[in-house]
Amino acid sequence: MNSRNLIGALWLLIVGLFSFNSAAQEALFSPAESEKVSKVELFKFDSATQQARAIALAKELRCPQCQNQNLLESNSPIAQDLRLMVYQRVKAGESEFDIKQYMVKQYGEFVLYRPQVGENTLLLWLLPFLFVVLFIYSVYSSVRAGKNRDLGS
Amino acid sequence: MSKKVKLSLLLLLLSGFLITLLVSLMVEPDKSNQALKGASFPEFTLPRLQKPELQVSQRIFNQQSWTIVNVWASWCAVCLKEHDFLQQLAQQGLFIVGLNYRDGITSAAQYLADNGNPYQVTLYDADSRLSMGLGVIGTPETILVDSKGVIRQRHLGELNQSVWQAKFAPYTQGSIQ
Amino acid sequence: MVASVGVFALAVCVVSALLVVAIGSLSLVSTRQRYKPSIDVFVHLAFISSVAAIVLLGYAFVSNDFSLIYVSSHSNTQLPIFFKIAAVWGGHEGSLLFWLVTLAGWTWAIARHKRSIPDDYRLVVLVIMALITAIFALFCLFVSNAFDTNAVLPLQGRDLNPMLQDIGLVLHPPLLYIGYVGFAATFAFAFAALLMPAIPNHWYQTCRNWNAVAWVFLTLGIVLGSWWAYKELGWGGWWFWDPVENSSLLPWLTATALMHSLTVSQHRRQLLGWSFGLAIITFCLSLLGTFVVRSGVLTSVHAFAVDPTKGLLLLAILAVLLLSALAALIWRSDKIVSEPITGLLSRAGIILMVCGVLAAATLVVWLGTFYPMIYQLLNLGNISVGAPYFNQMILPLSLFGLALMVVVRLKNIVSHLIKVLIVGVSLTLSVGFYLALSLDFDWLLFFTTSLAIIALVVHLMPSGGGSLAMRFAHIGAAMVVFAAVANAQLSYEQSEKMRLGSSMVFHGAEVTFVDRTLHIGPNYTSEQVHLELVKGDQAFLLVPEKRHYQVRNMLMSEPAIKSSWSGDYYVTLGEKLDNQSFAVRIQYRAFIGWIWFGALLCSIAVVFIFLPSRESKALKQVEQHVKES
Repeated sequence: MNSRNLIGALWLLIVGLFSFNSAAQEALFSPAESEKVSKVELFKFDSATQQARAIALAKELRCPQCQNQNLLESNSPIAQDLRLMVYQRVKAGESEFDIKQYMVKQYGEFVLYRPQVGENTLLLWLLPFLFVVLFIYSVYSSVRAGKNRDLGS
Repeated sequence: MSKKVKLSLLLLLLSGFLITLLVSLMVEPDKSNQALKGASFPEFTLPRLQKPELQVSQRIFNQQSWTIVNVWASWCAVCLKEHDFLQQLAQQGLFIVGLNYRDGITSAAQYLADNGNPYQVTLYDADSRLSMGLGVIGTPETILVDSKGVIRQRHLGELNQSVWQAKFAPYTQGSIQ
Repeated sequence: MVASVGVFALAVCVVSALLVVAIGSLSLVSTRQRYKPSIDVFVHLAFISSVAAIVLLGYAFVSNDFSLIYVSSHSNTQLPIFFKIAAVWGGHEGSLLFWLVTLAGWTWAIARHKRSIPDDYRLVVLVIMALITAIFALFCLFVSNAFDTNAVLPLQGRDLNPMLQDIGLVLHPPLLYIGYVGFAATFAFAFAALLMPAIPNHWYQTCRNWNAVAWVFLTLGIVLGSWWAYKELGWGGWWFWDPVENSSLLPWLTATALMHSLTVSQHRRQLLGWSFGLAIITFCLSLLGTFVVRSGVLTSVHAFAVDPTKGLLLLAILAVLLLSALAALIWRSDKIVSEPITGLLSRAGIILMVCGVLAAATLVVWLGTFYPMIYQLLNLGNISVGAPYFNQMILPLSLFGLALMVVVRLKNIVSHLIKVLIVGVSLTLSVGFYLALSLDFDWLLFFTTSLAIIALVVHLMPSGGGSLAMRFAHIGAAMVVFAAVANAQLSYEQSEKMRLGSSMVFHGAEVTFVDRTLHIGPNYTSEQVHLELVKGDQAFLLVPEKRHYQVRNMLMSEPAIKSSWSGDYYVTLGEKLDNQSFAVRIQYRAFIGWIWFGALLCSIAVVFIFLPSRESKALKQVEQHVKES
């Protein structure tokens, strides 16, 4: 057998492998999945700023089914479905707030990566500021004490 | 505040933190999606898996006092684990609706043929629209719906006797209306 | 056979470490208090036996010894040998063994520094280090043994997770662990100093040197991890504020603060309390990080999958070390009296503010990471704290830190005219930068750029003292802050459906689909798309791939990256649409190379600490003269 035949056979084998793989994937998910995925991946926005806004919003939403990934990072079907929904709503002119509220209604607060400011998250948002204020105060008082000691001696 | 007092306070705070770490190790958190509890089940019209010419809508909930909706897929390993328990529930007379999630029709039908069918009705959610509207985040999930079509309880994960007793039985056995 | 020898080596390590603790403690309580040379023997033995254990594990991987559970779950006959060796630290048990080797190694290094560390102090430090080593050796032997065997010998392994099959895996964990464990030395130095009858003054300098080495390794480890995530994961991000990433950042922040506080502690006996506290907390944060990664209390893409008992033990170790060291600090706190800080803009004043900024950053990262866990425990529900929160909080802190770097240099310059000149020139350069790259005006980016340029200028100016290490480390840090902001503000992307022959325009370049090939790798098959990028008179080829790893049946998208000084072209293949075309996603990641370049500059700069400075050279010359006369 000459090298050409060998390469040809190898090619057939590889192509066969790939067909088998894509077939295996199709058995797993309905045919509509593939089309849906291409819809979200090739989604066309009206402008670059609209796209930037949509992407920024997608980054603030957590994929409900994944191990800590946002809608942009995950390629799971649910993340892609939700990403498509977000893109469609941004294009339709919905506000960021409304889209987030919809997501919270469906999946709970868990799905927001920027926690809502409320009585339960007061500590989360305020503690850093409190720390900075306390720290400035303590620096001020220790420098004053240092100066006084200097003056005294 | 003397240095000792300040540092002791810090020690106390850090010990408190270590204790929370300890507790979180022991506790198994409930990861179920608690959103939509108390809300109406989303409206839908879906074909039945084995008889696609028949359409089912949310009116199916009005026909009995309690309906269990079980979200499953043929590729879901834990679903297989809880399958026997679902059969038991069906035999006890509970009305179980199966919601097939992100699955192929043939694989789903094969799964039921191989393992038995606990569902009176099996719905095929082709474009996952109902699952998204329901806030499904994983399989298996079991949802309890009352006769008015309101979602009363949700559980993400394997359904077994202890989970049933703790979360669902209080409703179906009448202690909670 | 390998399994039994490996277990034996671990046992030897346990016994040697325990003997060091025993002999050391005995000689400390005995009236003679003499440093026993036998301690050195056992320190050496502990190190050698741990190295033997890990070498044996490596051999098991290379020889496809699937009788070991660890090998069979992380390797495969088809795995390239490069990755077989790296798989040694790719899983929980192996990485813990690596920790052990590093611990024993640092202990051994400390034992060898007879000249620079006095005997009595060194003894206490070694006892502490050996105790920690013994604890981890026991952990490796009884709880997470890499040498556990399979009941049934499998013919083939499960293969290493394809995401880990990258050069990044070979280097990232070892660097990280050497850093983490180096902080054990920092901890031991501080703890030992507290236990000495009179708190030794020399410990600040000793700690500073050892801490710097550990810091360099940790920085390199984190940077490498970030770079690896960037080129491997396919979405162009470089930091995700994932709990595991945050766990590595926490000790880094406190170690950086420690590096700063030790400079004034060493020379001027100021901020002594800070130095002690930071030295103790840094290693505890390393332990916390190890705990988080392995216990499952936080959801992360990076976490090892292990059962809670191992987490329980790690938590116990953390609790014992933290609480005992803090208790010692409280006990001796009266003896730790710092010189006062004379002014806000004095050297110590500024360093105090640096420590404050870093402490605030540590608080933010810690709070954001653990808040969801505490929230759920209090039955308040389920929330997530992610990148938006962290970015929002860390940004002002970073900018303030950058400002401090500028202030510390500017205050040494006496002439007001020069100060104004510097600011003026920097602002001009900043505006020029915008015009040259024709960027849209953005206040945040303009402010950051100006501040970074001022920092660069003042640090390059020869006057005003300051070591080479400090100058370049700060320049590196300024680069990172600038690049992080620029990357966030200026990056963008575009997706198109492309087939053979089609082209699109992106960021001033024409991108054409020129070829499609299939490739068989050692343990995967891949489909490659060749894209030609033509910009002006330059042309280059980008080849993103879609790989299928047979054993684990995983499909991975490999990005293709073309770097330039102003940014990267980052291409990934999306869904394959109808056998001929692909969804191609091109991103422009602005200034991302500067992040790693700046961080590397920082790390290399710190190494300069160990080069003899002008002062020490002069001192040596004086000593020489005195000796000769």
